Amino acid sequence: MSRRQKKNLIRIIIAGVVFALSFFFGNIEIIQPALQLAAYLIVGYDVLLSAGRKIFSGQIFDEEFLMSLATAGAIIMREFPEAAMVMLLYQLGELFQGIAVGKSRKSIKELMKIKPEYATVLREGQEIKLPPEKVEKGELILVLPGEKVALDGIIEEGRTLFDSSSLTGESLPVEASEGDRAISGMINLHSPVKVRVSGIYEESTVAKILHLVESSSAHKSHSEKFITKFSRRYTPCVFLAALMTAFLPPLAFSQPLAVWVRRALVFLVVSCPCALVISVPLTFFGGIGAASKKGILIKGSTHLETLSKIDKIAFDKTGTLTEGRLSVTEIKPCNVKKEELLEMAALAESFSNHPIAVSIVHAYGQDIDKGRVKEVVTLPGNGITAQIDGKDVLAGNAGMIAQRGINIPESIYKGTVVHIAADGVYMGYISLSDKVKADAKAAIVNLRKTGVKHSVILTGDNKSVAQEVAKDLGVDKAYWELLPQDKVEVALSLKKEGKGKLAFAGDGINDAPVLSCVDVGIAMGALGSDAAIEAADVVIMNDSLSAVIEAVKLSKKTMRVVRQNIVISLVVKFGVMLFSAMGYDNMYAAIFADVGVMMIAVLNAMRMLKI
Amino acid sequence: MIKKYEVSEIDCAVCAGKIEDAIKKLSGVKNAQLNFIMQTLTVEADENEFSRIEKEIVKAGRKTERNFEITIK
Repeated sequence: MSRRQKKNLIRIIIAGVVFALSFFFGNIEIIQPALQLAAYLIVGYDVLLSAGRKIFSGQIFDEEFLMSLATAGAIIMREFPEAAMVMLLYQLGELFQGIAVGKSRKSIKELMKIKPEYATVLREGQEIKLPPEKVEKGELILVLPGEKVALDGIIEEGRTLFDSSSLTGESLPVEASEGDRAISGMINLHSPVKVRVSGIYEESTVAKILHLVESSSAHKSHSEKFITKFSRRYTPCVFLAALMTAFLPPLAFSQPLAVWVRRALVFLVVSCPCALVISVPLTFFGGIGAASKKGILIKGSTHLETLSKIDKIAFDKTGTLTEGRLSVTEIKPCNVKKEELLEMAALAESFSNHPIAVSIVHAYGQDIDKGRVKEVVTLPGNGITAQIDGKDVLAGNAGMIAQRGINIPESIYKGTVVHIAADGVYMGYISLSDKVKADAKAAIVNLRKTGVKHSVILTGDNKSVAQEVAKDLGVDKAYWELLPQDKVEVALSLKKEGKGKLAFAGDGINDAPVLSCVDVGIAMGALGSDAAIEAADVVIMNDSLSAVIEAVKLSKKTMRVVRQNIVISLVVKFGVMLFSAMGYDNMYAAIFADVGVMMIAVLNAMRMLKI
Repeated sequence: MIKKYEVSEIDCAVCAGKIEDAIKKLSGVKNAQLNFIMQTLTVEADENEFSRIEKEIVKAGRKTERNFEITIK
């Protein structure tokens, strides 16, 4: 509690005691109302003063002003207990709201404590502690056990274990030694390491994550926009309704003025849309915060909202549903030696970091003289052409080889296959395969349970691989041999099917165009990949598929809480107004509809933070 | 140029919305965003206008919330 809040609490207690005392003087005419009036003034003087100021600046649709008007009205009608009680509870509600919001802020900040406080820089042999922002690219920093890595870099000295749970939600420590990447926000668990900084703080992973979470409120959801619009109109409308209730029946039907003014006062008490205005953004923020705790970054509440509405999902295959680590399973030369074929393939692929290329180079296992390779051209989704030892070498899929008029002797229907040809002569093929992730099958089943009924695979791989994986995992449909632009086309046509929204989950490196064309783009395994963080709406830091389900579930829970709060607030408020217009006016019900509902809504919203 | 401020305690979300609207209407302000939960204010304006705008922001804020205060982050 802040000092202001403590002061207010004391005031509320004093006013409460004075108010309670008043009931002991029930039989003395003057003292009871006097004590009640005193309680009212003790607890509400600041509201009244502020309301007075606000009339002069023309802000009549202000909460404090309307509350003052309502209670002043009650006093004029000699309803002292009601006036005192409304003001007391209003102030209590404000206090509660302040504490609750403060608490939520604290736990949200807690979620963001991945920010490193300082970095220990080694400059001219000395250790200097600096704010991470002051460290320059290329400097050497020392990270002691228990400390956070302040900036991204490469380990130059030492060997240790890192805890990356605050980034990825993954609790298993990762081992790292010289040459490995150290990512800002990771905690050093074991022994000191020296890290060569690869970029300034603003470019670091931690800074990007924090920026993303902090600015997530800029991308407002439809629900939030609705609430903003609604709250602008709500107060003036209720005020107008109050005026009409107070004066129309007495003027038109010569009804008793006092009765209708009483009823109108109830309207003023429920005229603040606070319950909604506070709880809805709080719920979204809580949802986003809870997700980030699990290594799921959601770029804005609008994405959280859309995620709850998805009924179909497209997956990239390699690296998303599968491990992404291909291994060579077969080398089938054609009129050349096996070693020769593999060497040629490894040379051609040596400049590429495509998973296929990496695995072939790995299978070759010997040092590669890159000087032998010239004029490497990558044809995305097809393969590579290069000049090796003066020969024009092609390494790629069957389509690419056939397109150049080279005949492939036998048709192969298995796995991922790279065909190789040199100077127009077919040399043979290398086939590779990739293991399906351990949690993939369960993920598809669980997604179905959460309401994502339709799942498809989009892959650049061939038909047999695509169908095999689809069958294995129980995915409804597979689209194969797709180039990046084909994936976009398929995604766009999928988007038009059915009512629900379409999500796409991919590794974000080759899939940036698809990520940005679907309703929700989910980038997987994105730790340290800038392109993915840029293009996606939802970024999953580790590469576990269960995080996708987690994200969908969280989004649904968030929306459920948002809907509950909207319904509860509106039903109670309109209910109280309706009953009051019908003559069942009750100030206590009105204050419940205002403060009570706000408390319920805020407590409900705070559930999101407890995940 | 975009500047970021920390905002003193605003407990009421409706007020935050009103203050944001008021700041957006100040002359020279291209865009403004008041994040009620993070208690941050981001303002976009020309660099040489900031000293004037900052004063006006505080004035506009105090109309709605008496204790309104901003500090540069």
